Amino acid sequence: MTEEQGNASLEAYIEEASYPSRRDVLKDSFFNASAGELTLVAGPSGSGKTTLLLAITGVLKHLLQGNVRGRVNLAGIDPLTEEGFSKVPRIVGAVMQDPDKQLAMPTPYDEVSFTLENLGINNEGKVWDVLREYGLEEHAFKPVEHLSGGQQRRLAIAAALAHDPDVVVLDEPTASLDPWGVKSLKGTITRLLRRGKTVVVVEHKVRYFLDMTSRTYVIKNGVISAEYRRDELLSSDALRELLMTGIDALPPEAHVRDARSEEGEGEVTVSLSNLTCGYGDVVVLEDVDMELRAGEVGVLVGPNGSGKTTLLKCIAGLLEPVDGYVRVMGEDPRRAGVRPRGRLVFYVPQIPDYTFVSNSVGGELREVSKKVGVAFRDLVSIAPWVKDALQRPPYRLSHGQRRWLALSIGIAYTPKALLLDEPTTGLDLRFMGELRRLLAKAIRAGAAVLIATHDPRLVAEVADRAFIVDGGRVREVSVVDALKYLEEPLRGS
Amino acid sequence: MGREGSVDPAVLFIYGLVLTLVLFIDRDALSLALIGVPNAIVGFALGWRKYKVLIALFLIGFTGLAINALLLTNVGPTVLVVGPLIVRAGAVNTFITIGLRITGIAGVAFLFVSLVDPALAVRSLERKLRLPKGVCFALAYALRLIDLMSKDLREIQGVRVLRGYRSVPITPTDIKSVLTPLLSVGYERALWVGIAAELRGFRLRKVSKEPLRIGWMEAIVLTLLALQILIALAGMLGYLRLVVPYTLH
Amino acid sequence: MKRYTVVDWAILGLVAVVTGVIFTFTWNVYYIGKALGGPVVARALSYGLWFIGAPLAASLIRKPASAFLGETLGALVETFLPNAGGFTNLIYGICQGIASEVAYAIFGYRRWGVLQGMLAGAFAGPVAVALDAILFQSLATPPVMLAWTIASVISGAIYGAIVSAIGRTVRGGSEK
Repeated sequence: MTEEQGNASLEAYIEEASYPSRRDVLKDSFFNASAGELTLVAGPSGSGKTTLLLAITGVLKHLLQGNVRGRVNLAGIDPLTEEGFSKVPRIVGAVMQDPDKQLAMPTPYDEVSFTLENLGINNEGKVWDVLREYGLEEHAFKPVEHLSGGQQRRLAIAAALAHDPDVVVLDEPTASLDPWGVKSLKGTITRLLRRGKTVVVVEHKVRYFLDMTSRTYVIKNGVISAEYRRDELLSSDALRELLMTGIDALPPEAHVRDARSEEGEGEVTVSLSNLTCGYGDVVVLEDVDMELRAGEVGVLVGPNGSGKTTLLKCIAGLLEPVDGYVRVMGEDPRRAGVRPRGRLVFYVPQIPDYTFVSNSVGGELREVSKKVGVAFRDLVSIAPWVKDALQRPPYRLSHGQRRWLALSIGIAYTPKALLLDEPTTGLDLRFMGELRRLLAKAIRAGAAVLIATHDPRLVAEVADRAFIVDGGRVREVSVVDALKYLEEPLRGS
Repeated sequence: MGREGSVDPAVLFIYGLVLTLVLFIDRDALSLALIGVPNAIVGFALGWRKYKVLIALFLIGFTGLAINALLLTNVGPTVLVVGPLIVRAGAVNTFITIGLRITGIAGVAFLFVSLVDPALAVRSLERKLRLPKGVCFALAYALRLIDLMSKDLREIQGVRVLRGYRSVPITPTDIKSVLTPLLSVGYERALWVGIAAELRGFRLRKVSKEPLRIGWMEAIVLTLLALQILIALAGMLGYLRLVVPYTLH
Repeated sequence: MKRYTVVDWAILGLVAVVTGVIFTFTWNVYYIGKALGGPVVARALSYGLWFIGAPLAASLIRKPASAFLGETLGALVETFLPNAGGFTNLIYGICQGIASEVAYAIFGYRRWGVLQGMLAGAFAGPVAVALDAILFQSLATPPVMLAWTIASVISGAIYGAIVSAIGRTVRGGSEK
């Protein structure tokens, strides 16, 4: 299939792979990665990308008791055999989606030494070398939760690569990253490639990596269906083709707004004046002034940990302002007469599961119906899949469906202010259309929407107004400038 | 740069566990006092700055203990008369023995948590007390999760307020609807953490066992422990008596 | 015996910290109950919540010893956290864990449902009461012991049932 099979350090043919509970997640897929090259596996959510990684590393078969048929050659060993699998950790370093799902130890020191000790390297000096290399030396004994998002991400990489493995696999590494984090990640990958490592990245946001990848595989419905060399992906036709399947292959362009803003201005819904917010003694944001009108979609953009979520929580009345005031429809949400408070302001957290109170989708909708007086059958008819999922626990829906349900619950409360925290994390482009429809619905019901995000595509698709949150301050900019701000770190890198 | 305490956590762990067992079964007031009081003074003094509220709550609980003692065990010769209230020897004995025991246990607890970094303690348990690697992994992961899951809990409570539900769970139904999302998010994370740990070679893990480091401090702690065991034994076997004449009536 | 994977150990860590969180809450109930009604009332109010580690771990992991480990590791984590119980947590945890484990053993480790969870909670009750009788010595008069036993068995069964139902929702699949 390819001309340079000679120095291939990873070669896999998966005839069939599945989890114990499901059938045929992956089928008939050939895959090949070489030393010193970046190999990209692109595919939309649920296409089997992650399963491919789990299959070729032997995890699916030996840890998750799944079924894998095929052959894998990983630098001379076969991870599908018990003996080969026990050698995988020495050869492979794997970085998973987000730090919450892979950091297992209480402090950075313990995290790095965990990997090294597993592999028989009981050497304190080496632990410190690794921490130093990733700029974590000063934080060695800090509780992991007290690190910034960027530091946690660096720690995840440091801990996965502490033993200097030859093959590096990264599963959706940009999912929870801001553009600055993506830039730093690309730097790390470049260094790894220079040292001759085999790097495999599994992603739906391929556009970040098109300038460095040697080979791109496209996976759809569990089958690797196409393979592109680097030069083949220079044409925009090929990229547009990827875009159609939900893969983020092109930079976003700001949408031309529809007539919404010409309908005349809605009334001021959210107003913040002189607002200072934070946790206890720690001030996160100072002197925030903002007015948002009904019908507007505002976005808060800025790096991880800049205070976007803090601001949303403050507006929802979940955090008490340190100074200044928050008003939603002229009321202080903490003391509002409207009951439940969600009818005035609703905050949908980044992890949708936090929103649920019942253990079935039907129960969830019945609860909403009880609290806000909307007929149950109207709630059921809002999406075609809901009818068939009424008995299922909301927690067992797909990630996209959980997001959808959490948002729909929020919208059913018809809040005057709808606040969303990173609503697109880990979801592909197909979700964007759904999100736009849901937001339009909230707006028709008279809401102002405020979204915290570092996803440029979301900004391009939905924003009417944009605010940059950085360095403890909030300033309004044009949507085009907000996009430039988010794309800036990735230019020319 | 290190975070080593002055005493090996494994030694303090042994001290805490053994002494608590001793206090648990010792039924002699005098030896309970000789063991409990010094440990409580040291433990509360060390823990006071960080755990003021907990220690205060613990001390307030003595009113309840007094009430229980009076209601349930107020028998025997009269010791004290306060207006209509007649306090008998049984109630005094109960109050003193149980009070000393739980004070001693709490003192040891605060002494331990004040002196020991939990993450370090887990390392020490694995290397020196040879706890299985799986148990130590679970413990270390639990310590990492405490902050993360407190954050989860706050988020869940926040959305509950917005949706019009009690944020502090009271009824079993409340507890269920708070615990389910907490565990659901946690379960998914645990699955991925497990996968990540497996790929980082958990299966191969063999930590080099180290002997307990017995320096000066450890020797002192272990000697104190032995001494207190002897006191308890003496107390329980009846070799310990107050020679100061004491008259309560 | 089925081998424990690293995923199982991670789930045990999760259970330990969840029970730790619940226990922190339980300790508050306990302190307030104790100030107002003494240890006798405080115990009766909080019993069932101390026993959830075992049925929760068992319903999530479904392997022999998971009930015992769930209760014991939760208790071990608790000894690392500041509370007045200290190492007694560990003593209670180990004994309660063994008692709860019996609920799954008598079904041959083939059923991990709500009924077994109820029994696991209920079985831990008398064990906790027996330990309390040692700890509180003369306070544990026969009527108090009887009241404690009833309170512990009932609340143990209720919370055992609740957490095993949660375990089933979270883990998915049948009870087997």
